[in-house]
Amino acid sequence: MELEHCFLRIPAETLYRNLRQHKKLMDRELDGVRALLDELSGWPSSPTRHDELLREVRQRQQSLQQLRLRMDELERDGVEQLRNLRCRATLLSRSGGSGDGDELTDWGAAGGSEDRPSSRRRTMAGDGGDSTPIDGYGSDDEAAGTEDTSTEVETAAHSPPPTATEATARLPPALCEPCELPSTASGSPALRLERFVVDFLLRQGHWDTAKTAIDHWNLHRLTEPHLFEAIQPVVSALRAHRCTEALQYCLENRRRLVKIDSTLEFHLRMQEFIELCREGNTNASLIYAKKHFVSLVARVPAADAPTREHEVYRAVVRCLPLMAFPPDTPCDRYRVLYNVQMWARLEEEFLQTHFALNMLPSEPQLDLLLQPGLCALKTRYCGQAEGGEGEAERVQPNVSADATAAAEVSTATEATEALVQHVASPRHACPTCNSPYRELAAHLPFSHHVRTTAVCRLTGKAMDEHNPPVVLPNGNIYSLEAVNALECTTASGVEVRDPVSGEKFRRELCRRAFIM
Amino acid sequence: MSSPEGRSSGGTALSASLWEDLGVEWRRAAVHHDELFRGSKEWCAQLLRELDQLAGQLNSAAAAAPEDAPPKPRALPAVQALRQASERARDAIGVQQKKLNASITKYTKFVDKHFAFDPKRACRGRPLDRRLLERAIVEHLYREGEFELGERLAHEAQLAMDASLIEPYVEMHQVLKALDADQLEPAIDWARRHRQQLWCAQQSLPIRPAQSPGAAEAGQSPSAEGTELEFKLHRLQFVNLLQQGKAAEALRYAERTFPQFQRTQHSQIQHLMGCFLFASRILHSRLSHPRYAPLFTPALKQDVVQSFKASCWRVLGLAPESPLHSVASCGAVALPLLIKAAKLLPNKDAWDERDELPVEVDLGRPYQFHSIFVCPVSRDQSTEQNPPMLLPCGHVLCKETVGRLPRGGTRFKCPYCPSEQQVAACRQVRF
Repeated sequence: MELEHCFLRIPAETLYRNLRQHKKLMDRELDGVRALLDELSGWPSSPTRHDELLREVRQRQQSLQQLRLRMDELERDGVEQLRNLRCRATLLSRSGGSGDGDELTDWGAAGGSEDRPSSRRRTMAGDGGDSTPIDGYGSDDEAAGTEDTSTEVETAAHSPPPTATEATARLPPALCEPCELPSTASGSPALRLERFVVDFLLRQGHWDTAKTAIDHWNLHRLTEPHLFEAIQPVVSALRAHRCTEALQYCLENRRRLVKIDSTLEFHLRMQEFIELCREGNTNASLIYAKKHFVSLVARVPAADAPTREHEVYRAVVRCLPLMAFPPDTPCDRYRVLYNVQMWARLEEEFLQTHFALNMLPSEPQLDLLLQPGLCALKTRYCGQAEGGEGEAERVQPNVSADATAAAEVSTATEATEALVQHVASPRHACPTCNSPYRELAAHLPFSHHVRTTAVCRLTGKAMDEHNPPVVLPNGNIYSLEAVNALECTTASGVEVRDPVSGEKFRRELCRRAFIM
Repeated sequence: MSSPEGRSSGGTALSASLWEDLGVEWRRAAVHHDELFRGSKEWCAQLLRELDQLAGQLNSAAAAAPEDAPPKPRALPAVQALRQASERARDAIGVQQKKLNASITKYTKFVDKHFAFDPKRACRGRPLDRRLLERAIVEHLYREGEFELGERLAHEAQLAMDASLIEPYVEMHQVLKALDADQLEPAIDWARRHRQQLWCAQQSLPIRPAQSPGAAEAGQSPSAEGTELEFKLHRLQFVNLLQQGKAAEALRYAERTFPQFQRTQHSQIQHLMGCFLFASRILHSRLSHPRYAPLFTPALKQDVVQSFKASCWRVLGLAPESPLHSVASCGAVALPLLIKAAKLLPNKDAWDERDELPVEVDLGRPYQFHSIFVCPVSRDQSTEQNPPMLLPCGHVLCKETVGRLPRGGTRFKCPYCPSEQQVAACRQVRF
């Protein structure tokens, strides 16, 4: 659940962005209308000719039509995001287990059942609208809008729970439909893993696979491919050592970048400057530096200036002399700036900035899920399995094969051999014993234990009061079940053959151990 | 509303009211969103109409006026209407925009409050190795039978996957696919080929440990007999034939295939033979015979698929669950605990340096793969230097404790039972 923050958050970011877009478009359009009106106000005494005015009116109309189309687009996108949100919340609430499927009916049904009273309210609002002097289409809505605000003020005054107003408000029909999650889809761990794998693939830029996986697992509502799709060209440009696209990105998102205090644009400029120096084009680099850096180093930042300013200042001071140093300069201080590594760092910074802008966690969620998992699974014995135990298990069958060749060939010995070979040994099942998880867990801490857990080496079953541990005379402990399976009847009585060491013991010598 | 950590544990504590509240926030945003867009589109329509009128009035005014002389200075009514409409639109849309903005902010604040989480607190700074993780994912995909995806990823990530690694999975999933389409031959063939291994695996099944000596006494080569999996497959085939109404064919099939299971599955075969009497009645009149009806349900096939999968993993020597799944589900258990621990422990970054997690994460039985001995007296985990020791009474303590208990002597009392112990009589044991 801790990992689901961005899951519920990202679509809301898109809604914000759409709203801003809407505001911008609407303002521009209304400003256009206002300008037109200003021009018209003088008509017909104004110098503007009649047909020009007419053309402008037509132009306004056209752009309004376009605006309408754009609005449709925005609305569709917004509704999509809202539906995504509902799908996600439904999914999470189902996985919560408290009310399976409740969520779906709750949010959806509220819209359906409350439809009647709200429509009544809307007709009332319509009546009110008729009384207003404006005739025309929009009046009804206008009135509804004012009605709405007044109710809200009212409710705020009487301070009933906010649900009262919300429940009576009409939910758009597109959002009343049940969300198209398959009813079988639950917040199962498998689905979560699929989501996280897709997230990881997208971050790694395995675009093709990620897309196929989204189609294949039907994760359209649950993943954010568009956020990654948008930056594909930028990333590939950066990989091709080109800043243009990334700078364009900075331009588009300037306001938000300023808000999070990003140094991305500055670093991109710096890299462009470095590239100019690399070409040896001193003149161009000088012009470039004048254009982009002079304002940054016009004065030494004050002592109490934000650290970012200091950093930028230092970086500029450091890279400006680069004009005098060719790429093969022996001076380390400047040669490192020519390093190709700078591009990789730039790409990383770009990605991190993009994630931060879009509320994506900086680490893949898969990492955040797997790291604790690996830690919890990793024991001090995990690595050893391959070296010590595994070897013994692999070598042993040959040894015992010789031994059994001399002795009578009984099915029981064959069985025990096979037991060693084929029974799912706990070590085969342990992820952190096997590649690649062993390597993945290499730098992670071990799990912490305050209680004994006894697991039979042969059957992989827990040794507890129902299947107690049994000590063989050589000190090896197996579960009772395994020892029973290892029993074979010979002339001298019941014997137990230890499959690890190959020794044989009388059954009576094997004793129960008590583990507290 | 419970705290974020409380909700996470197992999901039972997850309050329904949280989701309800989230639903309220969502609904608010949805309603405002709808209002804004509906409203602004209607305003657009109205402005368009006003513009139309304006154009018309402009035209008629121009037409009415003589060609050379300018028209009379008279304000057009449409201009006034348009001005009014546009100002109203500006106000109304502004209000709606503010409302939507407020409701989205409320929603995001709500989400932030209840779901926010700082990953840095629970994880090491260093991310997992990307290449290894990619490899793990490819293996996982192959394992789950997503060969196309796996190949795509291997290609895209430029991973060279060993063909031998894929082959067994390919075979297994082909068989499973055939099983799904009610073609049992590939599965039967597979079971026959792996008879020896399956038989051995079956012997160690702890459900019937008594079978082992029995088989030894029989002194029969195991490969002559069919295994349980094989029998289950044949049984499914037999029932399928009956279900298709081919009783005669089913009988022939039974005569041909069942004798090899004579010894091991005798009662089962008798049970199946009884089917001839009941099959048609069960199939046609939905007779619910407690003994025979269960054979004619999809559960039989599911059981076969399950045991085929289990056998496959066993023969391949692999865990029954994809390791990526295992690690992920362990992570889901461990993460909340680690977050909680990071909150409670005073020196937050200290455990980054330690080589052990700060808390015990109980993953439950299926994820315990190794015996871990913790001395019940000293509470230390056993190591090479400090191995577990078996006391003559049968209790197990660690070596250091055994050395400390006699306080210089050679005898001590077992901390768990009244018996006296000799230090020399304690033996090292291995789990």
